Amino acid sequence: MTSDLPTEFDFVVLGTGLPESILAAAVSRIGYKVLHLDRNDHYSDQWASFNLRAIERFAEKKEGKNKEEKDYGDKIEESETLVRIPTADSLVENIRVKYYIPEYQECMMLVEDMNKLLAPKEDDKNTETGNNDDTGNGIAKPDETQQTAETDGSQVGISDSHESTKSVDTPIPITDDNTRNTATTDNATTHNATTTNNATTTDNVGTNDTSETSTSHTQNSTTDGSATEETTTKSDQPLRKKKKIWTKGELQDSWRAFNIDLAPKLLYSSGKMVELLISSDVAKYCEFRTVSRVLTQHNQYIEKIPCSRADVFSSKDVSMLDKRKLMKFLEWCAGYHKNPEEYEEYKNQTFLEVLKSRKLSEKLQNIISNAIAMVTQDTSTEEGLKKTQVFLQSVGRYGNTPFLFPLYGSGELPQAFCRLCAVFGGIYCLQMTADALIINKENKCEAIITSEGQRISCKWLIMGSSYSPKQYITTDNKRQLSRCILFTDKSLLHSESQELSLLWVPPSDHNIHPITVLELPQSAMVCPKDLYIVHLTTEGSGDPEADFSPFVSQYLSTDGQTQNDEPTEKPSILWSGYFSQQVYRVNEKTCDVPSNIFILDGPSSDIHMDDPVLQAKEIFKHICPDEDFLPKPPHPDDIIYVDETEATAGEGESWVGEKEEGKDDPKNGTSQKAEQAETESEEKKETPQKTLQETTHDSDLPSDQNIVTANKQ
Amino acid sequence: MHGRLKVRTTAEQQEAKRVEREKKLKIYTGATKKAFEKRNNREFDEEALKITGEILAVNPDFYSLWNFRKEIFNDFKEKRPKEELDKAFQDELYFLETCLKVNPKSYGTWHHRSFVMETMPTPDWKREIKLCNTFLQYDERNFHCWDYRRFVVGKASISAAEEFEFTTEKIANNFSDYSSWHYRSKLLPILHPDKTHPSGVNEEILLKEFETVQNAFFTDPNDQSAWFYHRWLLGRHQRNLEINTMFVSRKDRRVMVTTTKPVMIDCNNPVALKINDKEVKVEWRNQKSQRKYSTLWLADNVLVPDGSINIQVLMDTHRISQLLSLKSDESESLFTLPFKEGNRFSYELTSSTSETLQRELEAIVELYEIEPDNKWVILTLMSLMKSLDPLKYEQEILQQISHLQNLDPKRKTYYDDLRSKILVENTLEAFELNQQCLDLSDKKLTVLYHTSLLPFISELHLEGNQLVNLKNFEFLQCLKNLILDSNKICDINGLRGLNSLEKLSLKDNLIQDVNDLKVLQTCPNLNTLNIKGNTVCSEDKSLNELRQLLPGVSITS
Repeated sequence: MTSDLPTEFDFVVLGTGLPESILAAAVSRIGYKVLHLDRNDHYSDQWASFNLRAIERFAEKKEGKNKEEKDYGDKIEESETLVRIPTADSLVENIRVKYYIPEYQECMMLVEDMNKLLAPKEDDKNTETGNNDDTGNGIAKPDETQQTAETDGSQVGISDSHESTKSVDTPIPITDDNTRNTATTDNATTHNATTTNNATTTDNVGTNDTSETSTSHTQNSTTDGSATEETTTKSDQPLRKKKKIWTKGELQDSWRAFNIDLAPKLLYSSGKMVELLISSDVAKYCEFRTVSRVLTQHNQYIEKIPCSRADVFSSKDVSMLDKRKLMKFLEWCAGYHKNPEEYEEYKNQTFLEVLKSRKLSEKLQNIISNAIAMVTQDTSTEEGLKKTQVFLQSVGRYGNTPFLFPLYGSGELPQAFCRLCAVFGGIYCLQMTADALIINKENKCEAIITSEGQRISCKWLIMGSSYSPKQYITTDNKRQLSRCILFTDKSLLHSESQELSLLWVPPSDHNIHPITVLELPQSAMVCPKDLYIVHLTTEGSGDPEADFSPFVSQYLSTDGQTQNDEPTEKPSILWSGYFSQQVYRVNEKTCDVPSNIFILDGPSSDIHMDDPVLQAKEIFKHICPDEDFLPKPPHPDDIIYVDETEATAGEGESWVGEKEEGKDDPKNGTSQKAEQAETESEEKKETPQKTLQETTHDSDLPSDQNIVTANKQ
Repeated sequence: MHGRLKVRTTAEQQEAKRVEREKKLKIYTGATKKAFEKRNNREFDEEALKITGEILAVNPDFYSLWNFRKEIFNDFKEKRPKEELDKAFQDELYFLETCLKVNPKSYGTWHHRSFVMETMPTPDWKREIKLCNTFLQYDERNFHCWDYRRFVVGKASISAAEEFEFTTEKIANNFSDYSSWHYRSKLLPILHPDKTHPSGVNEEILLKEFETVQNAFFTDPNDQSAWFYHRWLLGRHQRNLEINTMFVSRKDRRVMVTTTKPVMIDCNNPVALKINDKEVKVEWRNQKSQRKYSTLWLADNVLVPDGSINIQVLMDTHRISQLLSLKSDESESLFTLPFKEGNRFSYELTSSTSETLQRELEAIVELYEIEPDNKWVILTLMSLMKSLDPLKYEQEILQQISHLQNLDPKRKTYYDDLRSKILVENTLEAFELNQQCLDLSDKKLTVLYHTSLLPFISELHLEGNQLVNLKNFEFLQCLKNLILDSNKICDINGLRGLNSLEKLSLKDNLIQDVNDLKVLQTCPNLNTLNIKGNTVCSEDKSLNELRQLLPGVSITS
């Protein structure tokens, strides 16, 4: 297999996860030649965000195809040894996807009878999905559709629907034949989608894009739920604020509106990540929204905590005296770094003990330990104080809470750093990885052999922990994250406006590890209107359902949506996705890791992104002790272009190199692939052009034509 | 390293900037010249707008150009058709918005905007409110914007209730906002008037406000804005104008009147004096014999006939009068307004009921227990105690003052004065004004307050205090014997014109120069002076000089 990639790089980076991308950008920024590979067909590796279709495709994908090990004997010299890169771990494990709502709107009612509207109704039609375990075989279980007994005299459109289960394992399009009998009379408001052929996801989604719209589904997809909205408006009680009733079809039609994070993260407004985004000017590639409220669990209820001074002032939940005590304690924490000796006496206590000793009410202790500091029983005072401090320093910088959320999902951030890397000449190839590393007799990494079979030499090798050969990481550092993604029809805590909420659930009898809950509304650009995405993350046991079930059953309803729209009503789950993520944290390198190989951590259960920044910076400083870490790129006007001869001499360099790569574009499949993820992100969000055009090489971007070909490959 | 981007050196950048600036300056001065030419030639056209606009966009404080634009628009208004006019004014409003973005605190810009809004045919005042609110969101302390907003609110006829809601929102957003708190204090009497309540505001509403403001200072007791509002809520009682005291002396042929508020007596505001219903022509003067407002007015050389008489003072302009009788065997007579002991000075602090005060005191005590070292808490605590019962809380208040002096050493002398004031007040609470002699010795007073209440005393003991000067001693018009031993006095100009003063003891003070004593020449009845223990005594020459200055005075040195 031939490839047009240059054969020599300063850095080869495997995996486009967050710390890898930061480091790639940092070294590219100071002029090193960087080759950045990712075995996936998207950027951001374990940190990626997916649309609904893509995440469901995950559930269908069967891994475990053990690639045969190629013989690279001809690629290595005698003194060198070959170290295999393990074949791809899946980004997620044991993913299980489930719908809790009917395929289509089942019952339509006439407007006349108000009593009937108030009568209890259960139209829960759970669309059971198949299991995705190893023995998983898509058994289509016809789900029984329950019809609700209505009060007599009411005219209810009843349809005999037949829900067939969508097996996530079977890679064939499942056709759900739903014959809907719109019952009786002049029921003009009834949703009229008869005999809809729901072309659900297939294995080769790329080509399915077009066929989808040509199916009889058109009505739904073009109106994007407005048809049903109309129905609900008319059939619902006019006095009550209308509540959107979702169907599976509608959710699937809005697949592009979803950006579902594998590793949902926030940024502390004064944290390391924000500082880096500003100092490196990468911030211009992203947009953010402030988390609008921080919640806490108190006496089994979810409450909003006051974050800022203004919040404390206006809070009705906290008594006057508690307000002062809270502020006083926070002021005390904020002064920690100024005179640490004052805190000496608490050194041997845990943070929670200190809270108790300062005579704070139980309510305040809860706010401070579970919502502000987010600490557990055994967190030391010092750590607790530091965490409180970060929180306090971040409050008020961009909003009333200390957190920012990246619009379109956390997966945007690694991409932003990749972009900077590319602007300074880094070369990107997706769907390409290293099959093996070549280690010389000094136990240094000499080169890699790409999955295309090309030998590429490098001075340094950076890789995400999931790429690491097993002998380089100790297995006890392997951690399992349990993840749960839910679509709900309303917020965990009722509010008049769309809220972006963070909730931290401390360890309890139900959960050994704390659970981080992030609830994202449509305004975070991660889901359609009238929907919330709830991300639950914890360090898990390998059984995510079990890890989250106490929380889920306490605060959410799995019975499908009802017409009831009382604020006290629990939010209904419309869709759930459970999975585990294997994460290696590289605490210390084992002795036989070559000195020029650096292995970076995968996403942790931390809600913030400061650790990846610190890790990338630390390695950068180790490699280039005298260089600035991601300094601000110069203003384009201040750049003096090097003259022609110099430019050609340094092939592949920054601006010039980038241009040349562009020239190769039409004839080079690899670079097309490299751009693919960018176009993918273009697909999933409406406004990527804005950021793309800000880079200087928009001319290099492939046209839509290219996308299609790239996908077909 | 290879392939690194080359960035211009700072020297290069500086040079480039210098050239750039020179270019800009040239354009700027050129445009300015052109604008003034056009103004002189009264060329009110689009070009003039364009040129001035370009300059003002970079320098919105160039008020001459704003004035030129006003002239242009006034001219347009006369000559242009309505549609064109509308557009021109709309454009001007847009232009002003861009200027405000450059500098939201430019007097000229805001003023010009109010001109445009008033001049344009169809102003949209509601939109202006929104604009103001946006700017106040960026900076709640932009008083230019607050000013303009008040102007707009007046024009847009926004209800007080809406405005009150606005301040509530602003305060919820950031309670460190004097402007909003103050605005509330102006809106409350309009929204919830209650004539029967001394503050003029409905009691129930006041209670809610107390709660709001308590939330603020419990959240952050270091923020002054809330404390200021709290102070306003407690209210400052406005006393009606009344004759506080009236005094007549047969011997001195003098009539003296003090009022609760400063008044002016002159030919425009005459005050009649009637003796036995017969008007007597007198000349009124205040303690300083200056044409200034004062609470003390006196008339000398009044022909007071023998026998029992009735004397009446009539302040016609203020519709107040007072009658006083002097019996045949009396040489003097004094009238004083009655007062309740312990309340003589409380009007200064509050109009609130004692229930309100008590409740507030309890809240502040609660806060004080957590924040024993916060000066605002202590100050409020003190003022509440003082309003409730100055005598009962005297010791506590004095202790707190010492505490404050440690906490806030920069204002040590302020607190010294505060202590002096409290001590004097507490002495006066138990003092009948018709007494002749007042003893305020050995109280560490740094200043003597409330001299205006003491024009009748003839003997005043102030030995052993820390007085530095004798400010406001002019009020002590009947004072005969003044003992100021062992103070730190270096300035006695406050004694100017004390006609009655006979004996003055300045033993052990800090008077250095003979000239400092020159003011005693204005005290015609002075016969005894003790200046022992002052530096001025150290030189015989000075003493001789002094004897020459004050010939009829027996001087102890």
